[in-house]
Amino acid sequence: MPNLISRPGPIAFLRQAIHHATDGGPLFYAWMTLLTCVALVGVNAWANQVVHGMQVTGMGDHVSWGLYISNFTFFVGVAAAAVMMVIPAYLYHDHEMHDSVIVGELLAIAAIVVCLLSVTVDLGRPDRFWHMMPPLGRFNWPISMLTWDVIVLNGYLALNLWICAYLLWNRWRGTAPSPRLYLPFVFLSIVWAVSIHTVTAFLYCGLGGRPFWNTALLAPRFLASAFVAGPALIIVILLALQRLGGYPFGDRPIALLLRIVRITALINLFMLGVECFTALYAGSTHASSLRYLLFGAHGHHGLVPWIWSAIALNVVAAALFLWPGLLRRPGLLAAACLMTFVGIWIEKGMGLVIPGFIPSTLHEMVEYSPTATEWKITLGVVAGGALIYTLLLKTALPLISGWTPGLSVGHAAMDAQHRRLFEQLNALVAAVRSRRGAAEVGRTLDFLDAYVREHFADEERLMSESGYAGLDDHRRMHAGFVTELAAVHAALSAPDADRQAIAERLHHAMRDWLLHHIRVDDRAYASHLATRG
Amino acid sequence: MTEEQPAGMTRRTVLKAAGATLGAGAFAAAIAPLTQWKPAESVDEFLRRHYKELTPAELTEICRRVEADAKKTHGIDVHVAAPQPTPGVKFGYALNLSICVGCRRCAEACHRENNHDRATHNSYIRVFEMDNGTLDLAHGDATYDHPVPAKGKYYMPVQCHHCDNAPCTKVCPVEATWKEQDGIVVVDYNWCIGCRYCEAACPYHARRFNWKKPEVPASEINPDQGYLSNRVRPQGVMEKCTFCLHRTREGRLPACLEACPTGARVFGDLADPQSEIRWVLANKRVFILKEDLGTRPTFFYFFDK
Ligand code: SF4
Ligand code: SF4
Repeated sequence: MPNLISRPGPIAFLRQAIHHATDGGPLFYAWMTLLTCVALVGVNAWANQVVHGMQVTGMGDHVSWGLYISNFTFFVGVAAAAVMMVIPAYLYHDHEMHDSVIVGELLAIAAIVVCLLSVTVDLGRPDRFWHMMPPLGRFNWPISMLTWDVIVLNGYLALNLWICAYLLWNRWRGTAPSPRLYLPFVFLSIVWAVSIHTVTAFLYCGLGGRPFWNTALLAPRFLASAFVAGPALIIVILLALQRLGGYPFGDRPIALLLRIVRITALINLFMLGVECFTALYAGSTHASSLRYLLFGAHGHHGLVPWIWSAIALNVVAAALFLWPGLLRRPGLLAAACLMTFVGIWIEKGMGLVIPGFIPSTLHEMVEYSPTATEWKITLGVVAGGALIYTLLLKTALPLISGWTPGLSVGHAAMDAQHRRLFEQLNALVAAVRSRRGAAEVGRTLDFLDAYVREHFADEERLMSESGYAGLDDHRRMHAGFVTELAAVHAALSAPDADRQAIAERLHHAMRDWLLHHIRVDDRAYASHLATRG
Repeated sequence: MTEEQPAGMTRRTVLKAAGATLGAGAFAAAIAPLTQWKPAESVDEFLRRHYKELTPAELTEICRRVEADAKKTHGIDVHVAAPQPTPGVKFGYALNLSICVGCRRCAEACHRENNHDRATHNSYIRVFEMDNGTLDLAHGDATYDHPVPAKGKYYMPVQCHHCDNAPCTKVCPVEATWKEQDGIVVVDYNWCIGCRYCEAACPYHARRFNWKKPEVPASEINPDQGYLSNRVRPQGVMEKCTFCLHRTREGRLPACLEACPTGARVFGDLADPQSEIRWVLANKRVFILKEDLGTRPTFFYFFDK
């Protein structure tokens, strides 16, 4: 039978994306306004920097890279760490991770944008940006590591854009994505993620004149710290989404990410220790940057408070991660993640870039501290990234968890009811998961139960009126769902109910059933209705 | 979207449109300072190709453009040339640490010759006061301010070493800096994007960035200029010692050498066996800075005694 339900096209997709991205409650608008303001303050500071020159920064010929490049380095790590979600989902076919992968991949996109902006604001002549673009410019590839970084960062951006767009587009249309069109890219992006951070480390460790950076441990250290900061950030995001609603995933992703940071946080501290021992024990002049960083030198102590705060934050967070009860204390978990996020931002941003210049190559001690302009621009860049990320999430999450036009059965009333069904089911999952009182959960459940029956009855009436041959089969399927719902009800009323497990069951078994049922079974009767006209 | 009432929809849309307009307006206001920005470049200059792809005629035209620019901005006549390397010539520099007294006249001469920014007193040369008995720069001081030579000290001027294996040229993403045939490492100020990667890569602190537009009073501008050397630089680009190529490629000596009162500086053609610098390399106790880095400098230090 030909499929008579037309599939919506890209324009409609974009329209709905824009609708989702710009629609929200007061909190959403307040958040967006805040980010926009911070970003605009940054844009303004940058415009002034372009006009008056980089003299408005705290940099000079001795410390010639500062906050911008520090922030760049850090966010390359965040972008790379998005693969922490992808690996289990695809490599180990962990289906529960599949949906949440999108949160990580969208983060990679936003983080790369932050990286590219951070480098752009660091340029003395942004107007000559095109000198880097072949064939117009001169691209000093392969000898300049910076050209490698340009390639891998933009490649990574393109990869993630493609994967996200392709998967979301298919989800929206209700079609199955063709593995050939995205799986190879997913695996490529895993390797690629490692490459972006390795190349960024090579930017530094390839410089023989800067002993502080000229160590083979730099790339492994970058990766280790990235795999702390990245997952930590994603945990915070997932926890926030859980609080704010609109969180369509189970607890599994958070538990998995926590297992990862538990290990990587320790590896990261270990590597820092190894680095310190190697340099300090031998006591060569090569250790002078490290000594300046940790203890200060020749009366200069600019970075000492920073690095010790970073170490303290990372140690406390690593200890907290080891505590088994952490998963049950979302507030504390978020705090630990934020601590290590900030700790690593300091350690590998300011703590890594700046000491490379102090002492200078001719052993002069000139210190650096960022000016207000640099802070404004940096915060503006990060706000810009957060803005993009918010919009991306706002677009993607409803597509993952809710009714999309791709699920249309071509019957307006039935479409509206299906939409409500998804909303009710998601509300129930949220209520169960949020550990709200049994009364409230009961209310949501009753409501869903009533709505399901009503909807099924409407649908069945439609089928019988039109003389649909598959009515009996369809009835059986509906009855199965109602029984399952009753089973959930019973399980929830048990005194020792494992609510997380029930939430998972609701979330996966029932939502996936609904998706499949609408896509396949309901479409069949809809086609029948359509042919009858 | 069957459930949304048309009225609510419209109000929302209007609000969203208002928000977007407000945002766009604020954005325009935020970037408004850019309108004061004068990169002082014509469209032709902006779209120019890389130095190495220019024909001699185009290069001449560009030099005329820089001259016209100087006339316009400073009201003075300057001569901008683009002398090319002489095949077979390889420049080198040697500095006699036994007789250098640390007077910094070389640094001062560099400052004037190369049209450096007056306010920051920039120079390509930094002179370090060193303790007798050590070559460790960690004990050096470039900010000394007392009569020289001081007792127990010797002096070590440092400038670009025009390395044969130059880390600075390797790292440049756009080939805005390169080593010419006669060994001189140059920067094209109109191609550099100002990323400062080369400054991080140089092990000898030889590079200088234009953190602001360099300012030299018109009356003090050295009108004898080279396109790749001492013409007044734009804001936001890298610069460095060029062995005064506008002089040395025409048979004259670097300004720093001429200014040196003790004769500590020896400049010449490393490829010419009869040159003074070759004699120094063959007969003196010569060393190079940070030899272990493999940069192969063509700037040498030596001691008499
Ligand atoms: S001294 Fe520095 S700037 Fe000069 S050629 Fe060597 S690396 Fe380049
Ligand atoms: S600052 Fe200029 S010369 Fe130096 S690496 Fe960047 S583009 Fe090249």
